[in-house]
Amino acid sequence: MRAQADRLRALALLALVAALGTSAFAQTDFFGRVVSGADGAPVAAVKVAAELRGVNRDAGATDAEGRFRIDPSSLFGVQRRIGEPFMLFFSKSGFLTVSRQLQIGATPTEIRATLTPESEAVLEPAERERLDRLVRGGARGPLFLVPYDLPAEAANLSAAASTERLRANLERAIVTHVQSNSLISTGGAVGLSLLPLDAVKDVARLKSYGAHLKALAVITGFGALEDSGGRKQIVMSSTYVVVPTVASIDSFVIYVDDTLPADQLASPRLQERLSKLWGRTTVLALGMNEFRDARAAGDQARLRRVREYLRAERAGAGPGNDQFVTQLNRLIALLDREIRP
Amino acid sequence: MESGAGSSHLFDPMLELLDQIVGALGKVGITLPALVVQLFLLALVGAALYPVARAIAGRQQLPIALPAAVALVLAVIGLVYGIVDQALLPSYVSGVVASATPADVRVQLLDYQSRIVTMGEGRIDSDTGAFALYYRPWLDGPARTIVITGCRGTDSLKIDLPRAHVRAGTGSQRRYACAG
Repeated sequence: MRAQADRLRALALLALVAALGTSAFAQTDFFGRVVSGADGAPVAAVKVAAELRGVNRDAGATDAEGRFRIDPSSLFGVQRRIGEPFMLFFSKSGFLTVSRQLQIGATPTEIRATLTPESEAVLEPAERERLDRLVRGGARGPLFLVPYDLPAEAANLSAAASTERLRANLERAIVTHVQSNSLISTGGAVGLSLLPLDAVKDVARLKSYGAHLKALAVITGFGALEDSGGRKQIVMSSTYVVVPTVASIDSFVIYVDDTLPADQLASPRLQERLSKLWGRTTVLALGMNEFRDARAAGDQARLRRVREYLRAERAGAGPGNDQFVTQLNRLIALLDREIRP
Repeated sequence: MESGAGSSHLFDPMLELLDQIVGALGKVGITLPALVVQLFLLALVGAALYPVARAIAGRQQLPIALPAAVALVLAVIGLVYGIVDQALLPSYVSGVVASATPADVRVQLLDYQSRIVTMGEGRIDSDTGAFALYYRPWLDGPARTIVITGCRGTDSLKIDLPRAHVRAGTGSQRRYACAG
């Protein structure tokens, strides 16, 4: 009788030890850090989710230093599932989702997830290296002009010279607009750089260039030569891509089409149109940059100055600029939140 | 593509025959989970076995009844074995997809009627390309095909899954090459 009781006690003890062991093993936490592939900086507010057997569970978000920690046992009740593979997902707007396959009960090791900006995903590694080579040596600036694809014979100029003339025009137009409204701390310079690349018509690629170069905007265009009643003219189409540098401001694109006499690439009419459209759009790009810097510096006076400036731009936007006004409103709303009464 | 480890099985030819029967039923519009079809077939064979058994017991038409009984009993064994076998299959199929665009790649399992049976999104590990696709083999039968989408420059890749690989579950790390 006593021997039987001892045996039962031993069995109960064994069961307890086994249960505790399984429980401790199953309660392994997984932890790690999420960084940006663009600059290696930690990415905050990345949504972390876990999926096991088709069941997807929200596992919180990364903190300000990009750190996270999850406990699969609390998410799935995994005591019976030691060794089963499950997937962790890291997602944030503007980045490609990263997934990691792990095993329930595996030895905890720090997980490092690198998020690639969506806009950069289009670029091949060789293309990124080429861009890096081009901007090495100080050419990096807030705005980039990719060469226009213009028919050389149109203006009796080489394509490079035509683009250079456009660059000068564009810079003048933007500076005129910015200075006339005493914008911000640009000091009259907008840093428009000319990238000696092949002409690009693919907007997704332009966005990728912008994201990779950390630019505020990328501009390009192309022209086709037409013969109209014995007179040569260029049908021009320009593309201005605003690269978002502030979360919640979307990337957007403005197209301008125009027809010019072939020899009037530097005509006042073109300059006038560019001044209105490129100048105004650049204000938004520069405004985002100013907002980001002022917020980081905690400079309330500078934030107020940016808001006043953007409000003035909004008042002068006029009809037919809905997209521009929407983005302006978003930026102004962000400023409202940051500015103390 | 590199084949993973997995042993062939004594009853595999019988299971393949069963697969073909179930597949043929699917083609004539009977689109039910594999288990339901198998149970239906089992009931059918069982019902056929009853008069044959009675004929044998009454010693009537023995030259026909005996071989028929043997065939039907074999069919019952095959069906029962198939049901038990698929109930014991691992609940997931694992592997590795080599791709230049892992974030876009999705992997799914198809059943004998080319229906998606995978539970979950079917994403692969962004670094290693590893995946583990969960499904319910006891209900849907063994996965027949693996479909890989999101490979650059390719619509989708469909690859037949040998039963040995399905049976291996986590023991097999079959590699799939994604074009692009």
